[in-house]
Amino acid sequence: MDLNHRLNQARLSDQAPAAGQSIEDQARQIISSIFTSGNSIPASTKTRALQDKFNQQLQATINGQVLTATDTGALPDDTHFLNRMSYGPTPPLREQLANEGWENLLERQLDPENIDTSDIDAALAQNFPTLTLTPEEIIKAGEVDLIIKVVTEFIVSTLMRQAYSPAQLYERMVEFWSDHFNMNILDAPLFAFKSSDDRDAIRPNVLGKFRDLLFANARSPAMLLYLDNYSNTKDGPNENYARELLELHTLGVDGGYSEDDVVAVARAFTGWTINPFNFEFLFHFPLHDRRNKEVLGTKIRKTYTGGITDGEQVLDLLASHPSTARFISTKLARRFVSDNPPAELIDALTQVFLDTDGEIKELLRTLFNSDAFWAAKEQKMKRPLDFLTSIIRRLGFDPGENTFRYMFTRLQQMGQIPFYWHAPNGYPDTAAYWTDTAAMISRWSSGNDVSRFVPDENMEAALDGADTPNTIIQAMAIVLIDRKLGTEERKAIRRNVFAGQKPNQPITGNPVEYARITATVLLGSRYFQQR
Amino acid sequence: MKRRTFLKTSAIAGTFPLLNPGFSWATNNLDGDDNILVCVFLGGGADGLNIIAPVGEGNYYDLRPTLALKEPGSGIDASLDLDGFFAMHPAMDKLHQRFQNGDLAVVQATGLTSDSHSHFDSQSFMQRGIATEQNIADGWLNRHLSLQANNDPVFRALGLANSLPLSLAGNYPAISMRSIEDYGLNAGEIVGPVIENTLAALYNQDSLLDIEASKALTSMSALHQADPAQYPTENGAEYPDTEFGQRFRQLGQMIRAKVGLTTACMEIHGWDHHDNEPEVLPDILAELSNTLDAFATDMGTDMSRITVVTMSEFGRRAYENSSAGFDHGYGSFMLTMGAGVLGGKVYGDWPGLAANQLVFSGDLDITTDYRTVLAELLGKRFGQDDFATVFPDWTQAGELGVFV
Repeated sequence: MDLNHRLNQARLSDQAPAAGQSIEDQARQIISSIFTSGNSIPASTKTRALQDKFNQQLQATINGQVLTATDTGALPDDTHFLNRMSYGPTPPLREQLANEGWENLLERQLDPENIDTSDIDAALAQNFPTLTLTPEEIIKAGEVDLIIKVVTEFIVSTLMRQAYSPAQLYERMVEFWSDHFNMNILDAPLFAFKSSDDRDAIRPNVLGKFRDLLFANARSPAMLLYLDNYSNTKDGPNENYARELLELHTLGVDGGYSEDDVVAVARAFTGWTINPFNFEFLFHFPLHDRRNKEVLGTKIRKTYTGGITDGEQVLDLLASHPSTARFISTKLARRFVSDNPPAELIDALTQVFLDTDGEIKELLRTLFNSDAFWAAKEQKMKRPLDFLTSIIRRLGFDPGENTFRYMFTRLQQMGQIPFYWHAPNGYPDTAAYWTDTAAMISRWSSGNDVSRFVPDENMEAALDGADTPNTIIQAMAIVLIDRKLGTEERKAIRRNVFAGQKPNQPITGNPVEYARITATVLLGSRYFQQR
Repeated sequence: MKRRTFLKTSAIAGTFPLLNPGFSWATNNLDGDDNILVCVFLGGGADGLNIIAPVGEGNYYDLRPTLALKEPGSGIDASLDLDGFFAMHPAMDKLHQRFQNGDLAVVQATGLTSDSHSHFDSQSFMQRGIATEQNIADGWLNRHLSLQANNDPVFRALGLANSLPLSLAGNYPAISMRSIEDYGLNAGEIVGPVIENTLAALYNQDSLLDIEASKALTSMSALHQADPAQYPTENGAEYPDTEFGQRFRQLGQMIRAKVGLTTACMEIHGWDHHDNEPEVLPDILAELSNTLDAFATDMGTDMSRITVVTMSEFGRRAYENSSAGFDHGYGSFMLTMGAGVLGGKVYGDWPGLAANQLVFSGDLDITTDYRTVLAELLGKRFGQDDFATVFPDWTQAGELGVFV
């Protein structure tokens, strides 16, 4: 039975929706609108235990956390390292870093299986039961409500992991590879498949060998659907996956492939499809194009195992290709170092990639050990997700009943809901895209909103008794941007935010409220836009 | 100092004139009778052959045995005749009506003459106004505006999209807006100005961030004063309730608010139809058609100064694949509507769909460089004559006569 038919049958099962609209269309429509209206996101009150614990930890340690803050305005090395390695410094991470040095902390982070993530794991398991569902279970249920739960729980869990998981580098790499192998979760019926892809293809492989990640992705039903390979047959190859495999997943657009290579690769992957009964990967031999193929000048060997090896040989060829090594190295350097990373760094990473057969941990070691990395302080524009998670990690966040509903609205306005990017290249990773007038305004307005949801106790802890304009400004500057402000900047804030108050005398009014407005302008300042 | 010199000087210095302090936007150029260009980018590679279908050519039906449009007059779902040879997709009935009224013109077999076939390269080339990679970072509209800008209003150049469209990016200070509603701090009448004034004082340098921050602050307050949200849709126009439709509605409000807008960029994504085209193309075409139609209706007599033009990074393969779709192609189509358009006609030489007429892996050829259309439009409606600057790797060679 053909897959489209099965998917259709699943859509139109017991809960036939009104007005001839398929469940799929309904779900897509609702999911598209969730994040504008905010109304359909389940209140995640049960995750409060985790957030409370995090906030209390912050309260106990927030003050005096930046031991290395200087008057010079230069970002401390420790903060630079944590800005890139994690979603933002927290007191425990800083302490660990101070105690054992960044090399040891990096090694710890490169070994996530030995990081205690029991708090976040328990919170997710308890509150987001759909994370363990398979596409088969989701599709066979055929319920709009369930699909919406699947998507929202998956996205919320991604945000929570970024904000609260101690395995921070691991989460950064999950984000990196999710961008690299981007799928738009609104591209039906991907909302039934993407959470499984994250669980089964992305997460187990983000710190392993690139080859394994590539193979897992090629067989992932979500990717087979997203780039149409499920319907790529000998009768008329569909080039979508083949082209993006070459252009976006491996060689890069200038990696040296031709239009003929695109066609040959498409033919090699004919028959890589999805089992229409359980929605798992299936190589279906009758659909496979058995004719000879040549890719990048290499003849694809015919084997006795029935044609699936055509695609596997292509993946092997691509996984170890020098263009792939350079392309992946460039993207990693762009994510972790700067928008235009120096050629020496890319060369070094490329060599490591080729020497280690694409060992991702080795690439990261090289990257963090490079001079280029340490010279690139504050050269990355935070993307909206970074912007939000770094506020939460520095100040704490408690918006009441609907913790993450709120974050969705902000991310919608700032233009980066996870897994919503419309094209297979993933959310852009350079400043040009994220720096325009709308971006600035949405950040300012988000900073203002989020700072209103920082618990009073955290604000008081951050202030640590500061009660004059000058001391409030400096306390907030140290907590938020790791430095004391210069005279002119301090004056600018004092004149506007503390108008009518004497610089060095206790203010009239509640210091916490002044601290919030001070936080808003600091979160809106250049220092907080960059990492 | 003339603005152009000013811009050039600041470009050399690697800076942009900061708006605060030392540079002020004009507020006196808002009489509202300037010509307006609205540029619409169809992201993903729109299938020109099933949008403006060559139903008069037999090869079309041979190449697309299951997915070709039905001939005009062949009953329900039949395509809509344009000139006896080309026909429009039936989902575009509103624009078909405008074509028949002479408001809308079509250019077929046009596009970007690059062999890339990559969405991302092609979109980038097209928005930068080039056909091959070169050291040019800014957009074609930005260069156009930089050449003639003088004492400009804040909102002269506006992108209503998720991020500033690359066509508008560059030294000329374009504004990017996702929606009118979100273009503000929503911090209240007391705290709002405090935050704005503080930020204005903190963003006083010359980096990209400072430039965008200054533009944001200036434009936010200009928008607040103009209050475009107060203007209702007119003439019974009904915009689709989609992001694209609603952004066009807001573009109408911006024009009506007389904020000095002359150049707008809009985007609609979702044209990458590798599979199941019959399921998805009608919806997005209807969205496009109904939106442009509503916009023209809403603008009413103002359409005498507004010209809309569409483009896409490439067309799609001439023959269908096994997924009921089409892979990346080459030649595609452009639509143009409104002021100065000699409508009711399909322009451009038809290259044909015979095997020896197709190019690359089986693509419709391009007979009209997309810049030929844009240059004619800029020249006739917007006084541009420096095409060596606007389209640096393009040589002018005649025009189609689409515009007066």
